[in-house]
Amino acid sequence: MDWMAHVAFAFILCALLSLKRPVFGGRNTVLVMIGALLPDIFKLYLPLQVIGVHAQDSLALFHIPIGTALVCGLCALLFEQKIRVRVFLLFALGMVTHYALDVILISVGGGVALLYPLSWNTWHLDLVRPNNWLGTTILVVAAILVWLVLKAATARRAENSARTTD
Amino acid sequence: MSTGDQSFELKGENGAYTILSSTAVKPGDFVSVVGTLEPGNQLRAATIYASSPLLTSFVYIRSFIAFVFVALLFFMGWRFDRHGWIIRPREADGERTPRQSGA
Repeated sequence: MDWMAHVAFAFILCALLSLKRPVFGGRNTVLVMIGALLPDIFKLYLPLQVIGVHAQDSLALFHIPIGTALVCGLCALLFEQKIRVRVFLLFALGMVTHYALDVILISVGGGVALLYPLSWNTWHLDLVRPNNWLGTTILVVAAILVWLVLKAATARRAENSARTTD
Repeated sequence: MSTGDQSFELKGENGAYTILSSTAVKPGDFVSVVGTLEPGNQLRAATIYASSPLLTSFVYIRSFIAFVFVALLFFMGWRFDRHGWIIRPREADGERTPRQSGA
């Protein structure tokens, strides 16, 4: 599935979660979005292929949860020490949204080994084609709608509190 | 790639294969296939997925747009501190670090 769908799905989830838990809102939302893209770091094999390096099999390690969790941890180390755990957890949430979407895709290669190294089983629901544009469009439109509704709700809340203060 | 009713020829990394499948494919399509290899470079398809080059290229275009969007959003909320090689949140309005305020 394309990154636009992953980003939109992560945004919708964060927007809804932030209604109850503000930690998912604001600048932290983008960390979940990045986490939703981290499993596809294995696609670095595409530019590497151009320079004659065939690293698809090696980099495939990063497209399983355990490999992505490792990447999430390494990326979290780039952040301030006091927020590293939170950053890691936000990346990990993004990672979960990525695999939740990837599992519904049609897969020729057998799907995602979600439980590796505990199990070699792979999962795929074969519901959506990987190049599907309709699913992406629906998710992007839904994300825009959620953003508009939340923005309007925040503005109304601010207006009400200003009126109460007066 | 030549196409037939029950088979088509696919150019792979290690040579050309005759794919035994009734799936409709067009020249130029990206094809992923899993199956049983038979004598004479023939592959009997068990699972096959074909995608037009146009739809495939749209996936990469959409992904690139998403990447740029996320990068912009990230640097609006976070900044890279070159002194400590660390990523920090950008200060909220009115909030200043001791160095910036001269303290």
